[in-house]
Amino acid sequence: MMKSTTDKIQLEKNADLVAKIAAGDRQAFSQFVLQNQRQVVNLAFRILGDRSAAEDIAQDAFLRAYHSADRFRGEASVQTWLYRITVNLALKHLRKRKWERLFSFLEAEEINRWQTELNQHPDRLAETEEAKQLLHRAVLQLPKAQRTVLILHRWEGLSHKEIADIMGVSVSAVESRLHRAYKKLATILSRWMK
Amino acid sequence: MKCSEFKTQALLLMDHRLNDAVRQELEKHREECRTCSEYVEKLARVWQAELPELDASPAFRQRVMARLQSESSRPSRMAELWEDRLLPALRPTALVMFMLVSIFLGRWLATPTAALNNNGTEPQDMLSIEYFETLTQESLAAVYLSLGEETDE
Repeated sequence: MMKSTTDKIQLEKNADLVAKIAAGDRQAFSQFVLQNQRQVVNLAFRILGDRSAAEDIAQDAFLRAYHSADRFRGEASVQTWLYRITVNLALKHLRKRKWERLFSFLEAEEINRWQTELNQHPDRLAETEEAKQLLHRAVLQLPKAQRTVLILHRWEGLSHKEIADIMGVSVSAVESRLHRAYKKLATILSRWMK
Repeated sequence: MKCSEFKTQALLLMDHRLNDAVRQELEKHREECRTCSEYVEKLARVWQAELPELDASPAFRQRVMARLQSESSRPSRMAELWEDRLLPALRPTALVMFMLVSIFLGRWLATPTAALNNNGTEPQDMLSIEYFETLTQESLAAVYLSLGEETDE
């Protein structure tokens, strides 16, 4: 959950790479993609819950980063900047598909299966794939702003200030959304874990 | 405290995001209610889980570089601003405008002046005393009847 020393070293390198990208260095961009692709794809996947869309959004995010590298002033970290681009694109994607049915019958069946697993083997639940899937599906039920704030805070390990910078809102708005996200998620899980 | 209220705040309790007074109240309920105590243990196991992770596909970087290569020009700053900020902000405004225009049109069509307009007279002229005085009793009756027909429909 917390950023490791390796991550911090990588972020310093990222800042150098962004400067080179701003000067049109495609080799530096290729390196930048390689270093950050896992985090960006993962973040998009956690927000969207869709593997294919996550890769598409991640690609768009890197291309946008390439084109706006010359506008990066270093006021925020490269990670915050890259996350901001990714989050904006992911939320835009969610706005476009909001009329689609988010919950198919197949997913309802999967939830039933996870509930069975939960009741049969509660002791080893945290290690199972079922627990991860159940938790992710519950998170995906949250309104998109609450979901994003919760993911960035709990699973990306970002501070309220960093999240506020990424989402372009105040710190108090982040705290309020986070509080509502915790309560709503607990309500969803309590319905599923009878 | 009701069990449903306890369950709603259970995750906030686990992550120490409640003030002392609320936390103590929840802890007290947990000690007294066996169902909630068992529930919170089960919930804690789910809450400990990480979210599923997705690695980028092996060809991800190649795809990004290929897309970069195929792009003819850089998207303009205005295009980005329009797409990311202005368009989402304008959508609700456009919806409100559409609703207002619909309401206005609906009300206008439902008013007697709209019915009188069948005579070819401008609506603003019909509001004048001079126009009213030119109407004969017959024409007033005709207007009254035509309004009655519209209402019946």
